[in-house]
Amino acid sequence: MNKSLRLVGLAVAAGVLLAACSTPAAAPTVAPAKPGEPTKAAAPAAKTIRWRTRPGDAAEQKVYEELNKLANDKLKDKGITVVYDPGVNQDYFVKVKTELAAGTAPDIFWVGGVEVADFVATGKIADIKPLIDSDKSFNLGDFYKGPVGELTRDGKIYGLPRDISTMVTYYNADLFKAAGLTSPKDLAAQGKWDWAALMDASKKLTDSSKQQYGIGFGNWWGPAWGYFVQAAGGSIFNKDRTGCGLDTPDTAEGAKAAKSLYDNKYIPAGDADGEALFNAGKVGMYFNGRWFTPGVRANAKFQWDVVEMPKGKVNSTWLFWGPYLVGSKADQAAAWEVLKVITSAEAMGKVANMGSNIPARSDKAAVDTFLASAPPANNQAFIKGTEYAANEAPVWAGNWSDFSGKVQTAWDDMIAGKVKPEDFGKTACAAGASTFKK
Amino acid sequence: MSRILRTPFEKALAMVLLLIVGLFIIFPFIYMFASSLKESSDIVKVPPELFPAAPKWNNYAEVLEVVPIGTQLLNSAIVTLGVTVGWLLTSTLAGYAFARLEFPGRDLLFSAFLGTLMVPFVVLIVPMYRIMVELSWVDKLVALIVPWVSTAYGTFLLRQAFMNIPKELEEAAQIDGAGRWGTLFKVALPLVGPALATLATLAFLYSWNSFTWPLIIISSPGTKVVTQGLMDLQALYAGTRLNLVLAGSTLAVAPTLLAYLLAQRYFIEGVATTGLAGR
Amino acid sequence: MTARKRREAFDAFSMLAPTLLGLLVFFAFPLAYSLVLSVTDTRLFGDANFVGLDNYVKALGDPTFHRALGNTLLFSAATLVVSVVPALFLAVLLNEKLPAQAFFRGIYFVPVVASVVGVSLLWRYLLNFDFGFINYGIRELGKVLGTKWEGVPWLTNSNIALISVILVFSWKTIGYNMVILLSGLQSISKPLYEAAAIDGASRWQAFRSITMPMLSPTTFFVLVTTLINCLQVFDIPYALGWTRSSTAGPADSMLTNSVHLYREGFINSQMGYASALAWVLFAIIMIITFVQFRMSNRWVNYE
Repeated sequence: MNKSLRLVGLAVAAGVLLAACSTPAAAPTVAPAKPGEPTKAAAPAAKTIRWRTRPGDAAEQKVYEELNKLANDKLKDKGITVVYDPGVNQDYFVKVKTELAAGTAPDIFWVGGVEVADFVATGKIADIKPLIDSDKSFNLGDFYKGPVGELTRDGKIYGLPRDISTMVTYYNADLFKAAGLTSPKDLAAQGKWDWAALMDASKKLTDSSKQQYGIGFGNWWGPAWGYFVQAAGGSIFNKDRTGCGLDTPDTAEGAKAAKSLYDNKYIPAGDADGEALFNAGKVGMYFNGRWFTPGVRANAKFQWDVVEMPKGKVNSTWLFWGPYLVGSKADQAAAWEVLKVITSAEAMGKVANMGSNIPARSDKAAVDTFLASAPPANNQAFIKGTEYAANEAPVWAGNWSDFSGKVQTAWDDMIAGKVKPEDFGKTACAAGASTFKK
Repeated sequence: MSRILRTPFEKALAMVLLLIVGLFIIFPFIYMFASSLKESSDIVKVPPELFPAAPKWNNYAEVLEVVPIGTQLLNSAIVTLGVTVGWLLTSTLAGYAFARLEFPGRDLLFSAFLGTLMVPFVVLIVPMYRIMVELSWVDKLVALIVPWVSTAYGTFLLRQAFMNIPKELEEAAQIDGAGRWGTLFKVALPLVGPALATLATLAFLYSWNSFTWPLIIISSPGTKVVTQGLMDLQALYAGTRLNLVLAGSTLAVAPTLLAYLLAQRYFIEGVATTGLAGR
Repeated sequence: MTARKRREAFDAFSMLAPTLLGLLVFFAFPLAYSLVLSVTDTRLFGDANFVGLDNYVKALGDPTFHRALGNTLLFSAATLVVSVVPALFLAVLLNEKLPAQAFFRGIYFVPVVASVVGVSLLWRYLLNFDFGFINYGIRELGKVLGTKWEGVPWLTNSNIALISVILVFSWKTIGYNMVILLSGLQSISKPLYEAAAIDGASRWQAFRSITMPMLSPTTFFVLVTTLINCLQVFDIPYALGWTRSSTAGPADSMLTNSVHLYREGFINSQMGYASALAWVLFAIIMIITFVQFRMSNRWVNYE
């Protein structure tokens, strides 16, 4: 009697474990489970390629779902099924890195331009130069040279750019009119859109009684320290990008300019909340990339447009871009086919149409499709920026996420008054020095 | 007899204070639910208004469209069920062993069990992740269940419960020839019902709300749990549709709130008697 | 050992088997593994080299680690007060058998059951400088008092951001502490108070010489568990402090040791270093808890 009870007890325990192992794994993961097998597929059998990119918001996600449909249509007769996986948004790069480590990463995935070095260092990213060279129908020269250059290293090419986006100043035309100010677009046409004009507009558009702000931007390297330092003539890195280059008087000028915006309370300090405030009509100007457009289109109930970034000592903006990388474990031939489709002119046309980004192809047709995608009316502002934009670029000689985090902390301290603008560059370089390889 | 509040005035004052504090504690939930029914632009309006002019129940439908919350709710339910059953089984067995059986090293082993409660989870994240990779459990619900089935806390709770029931019944059963296992299942177990109910509710709370581990281990949309879905919703809509974000939060919080309202006694009493609410 | 005793031991171990197995595989082994990792330079991928105590030395000299430690200690000290003292006060009130006692007890406990992810987002909106309700309340209060209060930059000022974490964490745990303290109060035997009343003791004297000492084991328990939870806090600062630049709040002001270790391990891919940080944190928790236990001899009354 005792023995059987004991056995029953153990059996139940074992049963629970087995049940836990088998059922949950089977049931909800039926759909995504398949893509793990494609590499073993025989020639005519269906292959599945899983790809992922990170949408900035729901409107952008729709665009990529459209692209997925397009890819499936085009590759049906080649026997390739394409699955789009949006991944996570917060900690997107952490997710992909851990998946690469575990061997469960998607076959093709997007990363930000600055992340390329970190990913290549994992040793799990495919070199697609052989695929490019052996494909006569494909012309690498169709893509913007900047991003392609950043993807080339030691004779290898690590991916294709998904799209590009220059940073511009979005503005609320209604607020400008109500304040009796010349619109930034007109100022730019007259050559008067500079930091003086920026400060002036920020001041006049700020009305604390209405909780209205003159200007806003996210507190990250793009619109914050990146822009202000570079527009003041400074530079984030030293010449060959092997060390910090912030310790210059130009950096101090940029820091001072940014700080004055915070000190005068022309800017809502929140990060993503600033975007919500702009969409609600409470912020006069907002620095952001093209990815902001679909959200503004969908939500803004006021007249708005865009203009190039105001000129500091020099004209400066960023060329944000991100490549699709191919995992080295993926079926290279199938992945290449999918990659070609999602970076084709047709795909880029869709992206441009839906407004989320600028095609990475620099041919006239692509640019024209983009310019026609309004609002905003002044799409030319994005294209103008490509003339002098600084490329977002990977840091091969160090660890970008660590470095930028430390610089950000120094910047935040400066904004809070704990570090003087003159000392920001020095502090940032001191903190960031350890992130570069010796 | 009250010891501190003597006069009716003092009592009334105390009631008012308790009410005000209660309002502060509950207010965030009222705001969450009320805002989930507004237009997004109403949430960022200044000055803010608490209640929507016209409740937009449609927001919930929209959330359900955008985020596969149905699948996620199912996943969360599966994981929670697995962990709860696991906790009940393992804690009952181990708790009884510590409470009633004698064996070499018992007290030392129990102290070790208690010691595990002091180790911060973050110490284990990195190696646990590597172990999951070795077992190929990455991105599977198994990883959310099996490693968490053994619980020192549950063992402790059940041990207390078993120690509190009178020994006579068990001794009588043993005299009648029942073995240890028989005694456990036939005699002792039925007497610790409340403790089991408490443990079950705490298991539910713990696994439904966990998000750190799923964040690291699960990435496929079809395998995600509710807490992850909520984080994704936030990231997608933080700048544009705050109302949807809050609707999602309400959906994520509702099951635990509901369970709490129904089983309040067990939640509170469990915490009170052992003073621990799991990790 | 007699046959009976052997039988008992066998039964015991077979009952313990599932739990023991689980704890061995999923707790003890990872624990040991993390110790091993901490003396290597493992990244998220690939080869690991033995580096001895380099990671630990690096931690001691790492300014980010210092910032995290400072934040964690400050946060813990403040939360101990903010989340325990009001809990005690409320417990005392609720012990007075006022009407609707169960209702209040229920209400205060609600935040404890809500998921961290759900409430963190909610609090980000509540604490927003412009449209958040907290600042709205502050401004209205200012108007009533005849002054102009601008509102507090809860999440965007690096001096104040940690206060927001303290606030949300305490809000979430006050009910839990209160329930424990209440049950402790309820177990103090009434005859003690009656005797004190007969002796002419005032309410305050009774509180000081009966309630506080008799409650001290419970109070001690609450303090120890709250402190341990505070030192390893991850969820709330992580969710509240997440920014697009990957810092934990402005200038890492919401960075606690656990968040720092997560960032080093999973964002910067420094698994070896992250493991060392974890063990340093563990050691700190053990030391502080040990000190607490030692100090308890002076003020905790066990019967």
